[in-house]
Amino acid sequence: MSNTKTSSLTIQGALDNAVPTVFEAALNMLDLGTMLTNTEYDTGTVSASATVVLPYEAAFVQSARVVTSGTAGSLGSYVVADSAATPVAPPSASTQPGVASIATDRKTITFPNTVTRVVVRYLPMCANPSIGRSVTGIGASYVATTKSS
Amino acid sequence: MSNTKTSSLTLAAVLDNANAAQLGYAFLDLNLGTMLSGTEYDTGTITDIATVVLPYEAAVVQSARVVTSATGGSVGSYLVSDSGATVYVPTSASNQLGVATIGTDRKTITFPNTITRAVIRYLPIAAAPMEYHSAFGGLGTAVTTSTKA
Repeated sequence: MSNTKTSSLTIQGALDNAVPTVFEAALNMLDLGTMLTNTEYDTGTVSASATVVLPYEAAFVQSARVVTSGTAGSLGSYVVADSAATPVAPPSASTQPGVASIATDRKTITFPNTVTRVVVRYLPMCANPSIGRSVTGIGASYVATTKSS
Repeated sequence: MSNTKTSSLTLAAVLDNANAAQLGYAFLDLNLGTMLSGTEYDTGTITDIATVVLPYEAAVVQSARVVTSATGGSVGSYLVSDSGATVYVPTSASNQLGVATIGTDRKTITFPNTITRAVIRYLPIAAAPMEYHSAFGGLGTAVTTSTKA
């Protein structure tokens, strides 16, 4: 029985399989240093919208703070729950936390009201738009050894 | 036209560039295994103070819990928001969430009242500052790498 498989050459796949020649290219695209340091995203002033799209997919969201909104009661810090959570405005603006949600795309944060500026603290999965992006310059696929669990 | 650039040899730059010759030294500074294990930092009993400085810079902070404080109403778990947020004590001590902040230094957690013990769960960026100029095995102070697409 073979212990090899052919994987599509995404950043995620290359990092999992860790074949040295590919791993270096994947790590180069990952921008690990940037990923670990650019963990605060300020939208600046944006058109009123109840959703904010992060530049990179989030592995983990620490907090989301509504800085400005047409709805004064929406201001303040939010816990960011999973996509099925019901967004709730803070019981008291700028004091108690509200609840926002993050979609299954790992990038779209939804607030209970429209917002015009938000600051989000989060850990990106990758400093590229998607960890599912293909690793460039290596080829479309490669054969890697399978892992024992 | 050249496709190379010279970067200052910070830990973040070496991780972004992912040159095999330097990565080993960078990962030694990063302590990736320890970093990914997550960290729970218990201040132990400390002198009354409203700020706690984490041992390492935080990529993201999961929670901060005030275990003891001269202000009984301050005890409980806190959402840690960005440095621009308003800090707030839990509406009901040890029941509802309060709001604390993390400074732009990524290390200083500020609570609304002085505390005498806190437990903080967080993911460190690295076991060395990202701006840290390691010798990287005597590789010099700058590195030339290929530019990225």
